[in-house]
Amino acid sequence: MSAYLLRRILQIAPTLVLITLLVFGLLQVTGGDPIAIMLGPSATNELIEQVRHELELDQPAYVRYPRWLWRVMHGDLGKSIRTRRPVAHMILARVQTTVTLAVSATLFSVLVGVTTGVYAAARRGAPASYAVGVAAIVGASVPNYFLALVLMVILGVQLRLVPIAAFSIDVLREPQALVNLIMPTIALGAGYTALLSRITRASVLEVLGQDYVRSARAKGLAELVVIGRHVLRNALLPVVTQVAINAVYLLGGSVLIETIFALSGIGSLLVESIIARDLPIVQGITLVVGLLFILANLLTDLLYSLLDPRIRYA
Amino acid sequence: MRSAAASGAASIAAVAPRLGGSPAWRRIGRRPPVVAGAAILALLLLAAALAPLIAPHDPIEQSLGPGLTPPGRAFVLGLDSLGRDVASRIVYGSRISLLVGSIAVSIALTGGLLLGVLSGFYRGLADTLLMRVTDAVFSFPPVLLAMALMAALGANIRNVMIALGIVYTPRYIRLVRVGVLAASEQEYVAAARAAGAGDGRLLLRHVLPNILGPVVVQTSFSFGEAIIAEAALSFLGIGTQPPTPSWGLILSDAREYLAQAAWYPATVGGVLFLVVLAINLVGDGLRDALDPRSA
Amino acid sequence: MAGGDTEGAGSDRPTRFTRRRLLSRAARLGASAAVLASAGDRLGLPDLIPQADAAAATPKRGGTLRFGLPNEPLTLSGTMTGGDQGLGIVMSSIYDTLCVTDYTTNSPKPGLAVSWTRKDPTTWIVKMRQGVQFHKNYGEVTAEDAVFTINTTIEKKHTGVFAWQSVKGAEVMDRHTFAIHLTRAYQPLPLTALGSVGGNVISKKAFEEMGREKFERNPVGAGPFEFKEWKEGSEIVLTRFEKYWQKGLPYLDRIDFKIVKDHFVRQNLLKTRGLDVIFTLQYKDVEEMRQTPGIAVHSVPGQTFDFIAFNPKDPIVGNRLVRRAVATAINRNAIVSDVYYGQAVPTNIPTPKGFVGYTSKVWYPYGGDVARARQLLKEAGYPNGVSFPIIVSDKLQLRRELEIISGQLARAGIKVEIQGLDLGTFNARFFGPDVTKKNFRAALRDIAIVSPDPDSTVYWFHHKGTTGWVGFESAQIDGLLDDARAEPSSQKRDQLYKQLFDVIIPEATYIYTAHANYISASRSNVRNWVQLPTSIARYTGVWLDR
Repeated sequence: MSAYLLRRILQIAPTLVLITLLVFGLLQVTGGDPIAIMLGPSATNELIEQVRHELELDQPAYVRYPRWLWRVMHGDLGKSIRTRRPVAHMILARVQTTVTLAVSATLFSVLVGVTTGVYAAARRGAPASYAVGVAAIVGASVPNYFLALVLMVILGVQLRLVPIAAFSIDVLREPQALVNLIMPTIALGAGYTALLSRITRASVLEVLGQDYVRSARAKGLAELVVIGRHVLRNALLPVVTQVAINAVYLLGGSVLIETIFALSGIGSLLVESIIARDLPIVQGITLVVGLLFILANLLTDLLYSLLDPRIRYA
Repeated sequence: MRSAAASGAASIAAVAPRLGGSPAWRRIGRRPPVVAGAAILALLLLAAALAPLIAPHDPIEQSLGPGLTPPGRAFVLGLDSLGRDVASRIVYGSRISLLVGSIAVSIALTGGLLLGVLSGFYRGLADTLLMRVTDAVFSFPPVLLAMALMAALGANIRNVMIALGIVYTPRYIRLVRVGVLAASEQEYVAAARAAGAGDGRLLLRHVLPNILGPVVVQTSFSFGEAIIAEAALSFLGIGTQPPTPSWGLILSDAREYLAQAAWYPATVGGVLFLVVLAINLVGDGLRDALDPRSA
Repeated sequence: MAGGDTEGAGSDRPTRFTRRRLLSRAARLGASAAVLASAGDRLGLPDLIPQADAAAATPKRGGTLRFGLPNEPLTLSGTMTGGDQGLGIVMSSIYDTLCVTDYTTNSPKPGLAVSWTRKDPTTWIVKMRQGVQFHKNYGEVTAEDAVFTINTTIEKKHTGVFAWQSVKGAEVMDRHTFAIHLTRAYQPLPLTALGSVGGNVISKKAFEEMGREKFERNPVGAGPFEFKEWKEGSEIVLTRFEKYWQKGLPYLDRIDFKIVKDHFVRQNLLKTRGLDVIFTLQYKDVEEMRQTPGIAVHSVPGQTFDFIAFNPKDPIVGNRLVRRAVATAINRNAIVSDVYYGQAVPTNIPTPKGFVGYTSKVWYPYGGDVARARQLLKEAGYPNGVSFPIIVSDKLQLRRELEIISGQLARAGIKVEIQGLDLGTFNARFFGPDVTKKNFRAALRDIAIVSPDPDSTVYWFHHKGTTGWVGFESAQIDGLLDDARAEPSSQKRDQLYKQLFDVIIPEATYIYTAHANYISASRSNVRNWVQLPTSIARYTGVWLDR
């Protein structure tokens, strides 16, 4: 196992380097000058050049990139061009919001998606099962930003059931902030919930058709017991194993959701930084997202080996 | 099966497409939701093709009447804030969406086929390198990557298509590569090769038919995703530029009037939703038919 | 509703500004008699204690004001600008400035400085108020702190502050007196520099103790509120400064600046009582907000302008007649009514009403003249029309303005391709790698005027060598700008700027379209909230009626 882990970690490094290289290259092509953007219209050329020199931006990219990489290897993500604050601080201040949102949306999706999926499979043919199917395909087809707006207008402005802007979703420190999470969670999680529901349904149906399930039924076991004991464990394998990776993918959707619900997470920070060409932040976030993804991947593999006795890593 | 979108990639394992044999098509035809989806898509295609004929007004002509005139007899879907006919804008917008969807997917498909075949057939350093790049791209949420690309390329509709094309390419690379690898291991391929069949012939006769199913399924989902992504980018102001009547732009304008004229965002959002729904329905149908082992 | 409504808040409440107007008129008389302003006591500071609610009951102490900001400040250091709106509106509660701008007369009033004298064209002597305390027991505000603030501001490393560009340095004379040395005569110094960033006196001791980086996040000033907490990305908390030099002020215990970037959310938070005051409102929503019970909208003509800039080296728009055709074809009244919903003033010049140099002269009719524009185009050698791209940032109302302009120009045979860019790309192309390498043919953008002096509206656009300059070379323009800047007499300056407009407006290298209003909205229990024509705010007089 540990040898496998080590191998995986060794594989991670080049991928991460490649990610940052891609982003670095990308932002070179943009041509946007972060300093001119930061200093605004009244800056003199002299001043712009001076700041550029200070921030080492007058060096060519092939000099700056290795330098940056070297510092990162020593734990220094550099400083933001715009705020001149350490990138690590800026990301740390916001990562909790984004992770909370992603975790919450994932929990919601798993809970709702798996339940409805199992239900739809167990009651195959019933009207309720059909409704779940419809809801699932509808959920998968609504753009999340549109859903967010609809939710906000109906739940927040018209009915005033939930606050329309979250500000804080630090539910660990302020349990009452939980209510703030409702709308962003639904908006972000809807698509994934739908997907999970459909995967679960299909997966359960497939397992239900297997011989051992038929024999369990033949033994006269109650349907619930059959599903609980024999079906779920096997059917949910593909579901469970994808959870961590999908949580990371939710970061993408969270860009729009964070903006709409006035949440300050790394998604909105990234958008701002792309617009301001604040390269150190963009790279820092890329690195963090990349790392999260790779960790999620690793976690998935481990989960898989735990849940599926057929797979063992040497 | 990394996300809803990339899910097609997981279906690579399915090796038995029955495209030629036609039971696939018959199975699709028997499912009403799929038929409904196909009907909506057909309608969309028709609208796009005949836009100048069926649109009641010029989509960018302003001040046809007072801003935000609700739907009524004169203007079926009302007027937007600048007094432009919403119905005409949506009809013309269908052209943009279809264009973006098809070009983006074509770019991804072409790139994916070329690179995937290169990678799968010839292996070696190129393969390793390519797979690393593919991994790198995969480990970044597609929307964010598209945004970064848009920042690099500059915001206009052509670049939206290029950016989305690039973002979707790795999916096809993987799909094709695995298909090629799987086929190469088949005995009959080895036999064919031994019999002196060239690479091109192998590709056409043995590899492509095997991966056609998953590729078709992936294409349908990527197409829907591209339409949503174009709308999202335009919604953020870094996609298609006004006054082009892109659905994303219309929606982002409509959003401003949620309080004053809820019918406006509801109409545009509804159309966008309906089309994506239709694509997903058809995609599901295709997957069930061509790729029965994946959900 | 276009014309009349632009009087906005003023005409809504005819009685409210009366006392303030009287005070400021008196002040204006004093100010014009001598450059040296008289020592101000509390009553002589109309803008430090806004009197918008003169009829209201006695102010109540206490309470927390929840203020919705559209942007997060990049820094609160008081010595650097980031161009963000959130900046001024937060900083003005933490720092008091040397001079305080009276926006009814657009003239400087005593703040932490009690008097300022121009000793010779390049030397000014400033005398400071005594006994003013810094926050957090950092001691008395002295000339040393003011000099330190100024010298830190002009240190090239971290400022792009335009107003300070003619300042060479400051020097302490005694505990409460200092001198400012200029590189060349710069008459608007008290108004533009002493009243804005750099005029915010920061505590030298605190700055040196903490270092710049820490200070930017833990500011120490002498304003009515002291800094408490900055939750990155979400809020900035300030509390009442008990030792504020104006006894009894401020009324509020605390201000929470909440960062809510999305205007839709911001406006709805105000409606659902999640916020008490929001700054910037979408123009289209002003009317709806006015109708909402429990909400007051404050809309005042802004010190800002929208304009189209042309690249004079371009083969098509480099042609003066083409530019004039564009300027003539634009219907500014339609922009005011359709983009700003009446919350703006149409204009031909960058300088708003009430500024020195303002003229109501009309070069291009506000309603547009399509026939004349076609004629100009024909004279330019394009009888069949022209076509060129215009770039614009992603600012909502500018996009809308450009859409409307493109419709107007199309009628005159000018086909415009709209190129919407994100702000980063836009600025990069607009400013270019340096002032001689702009990468655009035409651009629509807006500019907030830092301080109410004509110099801030024209100098850096028209003077060769500044970043805003698009490359239209003219010794005559540069000469007029330099002369107007140095001229001590307001009357002569007024004439110089009018002469300048007679040169630059017909050239149409920049086409000015409108001055947009600054708008805020408040819950009705918020008293004495005054929207200034700029993006700063004053909180000393604000109180909550609970």
